[in-house]
Amino acid sequence: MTRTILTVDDSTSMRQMVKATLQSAGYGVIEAADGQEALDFARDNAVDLVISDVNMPRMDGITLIHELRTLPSYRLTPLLLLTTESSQEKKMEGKRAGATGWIVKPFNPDQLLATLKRLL
Amino acid sequence: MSANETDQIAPLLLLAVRQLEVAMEDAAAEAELLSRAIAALGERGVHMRDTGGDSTQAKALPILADAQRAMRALQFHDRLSQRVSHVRDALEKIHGGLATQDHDDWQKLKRSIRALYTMEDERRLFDSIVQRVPVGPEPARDAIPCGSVELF
Repeated sequence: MTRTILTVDDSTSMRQMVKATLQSAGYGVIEAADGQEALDFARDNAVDLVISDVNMPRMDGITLIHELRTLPSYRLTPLLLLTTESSQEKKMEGKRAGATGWIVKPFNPDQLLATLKRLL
Repeated sequence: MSANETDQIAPLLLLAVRQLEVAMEDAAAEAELLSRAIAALGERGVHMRDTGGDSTQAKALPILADAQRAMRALQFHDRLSQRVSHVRDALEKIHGGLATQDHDDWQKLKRSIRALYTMEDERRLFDSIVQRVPVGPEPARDAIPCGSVELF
């Protein structure tokens, strides 16, 4: 069965890069341009994993993670943050919100796929 | 700062903001085209790898490796555009606070500008130049933890 991943980023080119990487490994991909769009989708649909940027308009990635964790179907779903931020303080904020992991951009496609394989 | 000086500086700051916006819009459009092209190259490589015979598969591997390298390189555009947008937002804030004579208001403005800088090295630069805090030697470029994965 194809695993589906929700990828959230306000940069179209970043979404393209993540999507191409995931599809090359056979994953199904759903895209959202910000946290609010992702949350609206997630309220009615479950996915196997979420990869989200942190700094986005309307709703940032950390708020998204926090909101997703309140949804019964996302309580155990792996939620990864993919961001240019590397400060320990921000990382801890993500962890407290319920993130499963933190990846610093630019991501390495092979490394990203290895991480997903571990989580799914 | 005199009212006359403020009047001179304010439009120059707005001009800088607008110039940065135009540059970012131009770059975003080109980056999107490039990312589509790289994604298409990657897809072609995957198709060759998964459906071709031995020789086609062997040809697919360097294509996939090139597509991956290009994907990684193109992500620097995202970092760059974030940096530029932080500078643009900071200039906008300075423009908004230009007329203030109050020391506390300037301190507040500086704090709000620092909060715009979300990358560690940006904050480091801010602290060193604006706060004049000694921050030690700059880390080597390859010490920036790009691509690092940390599972909690």
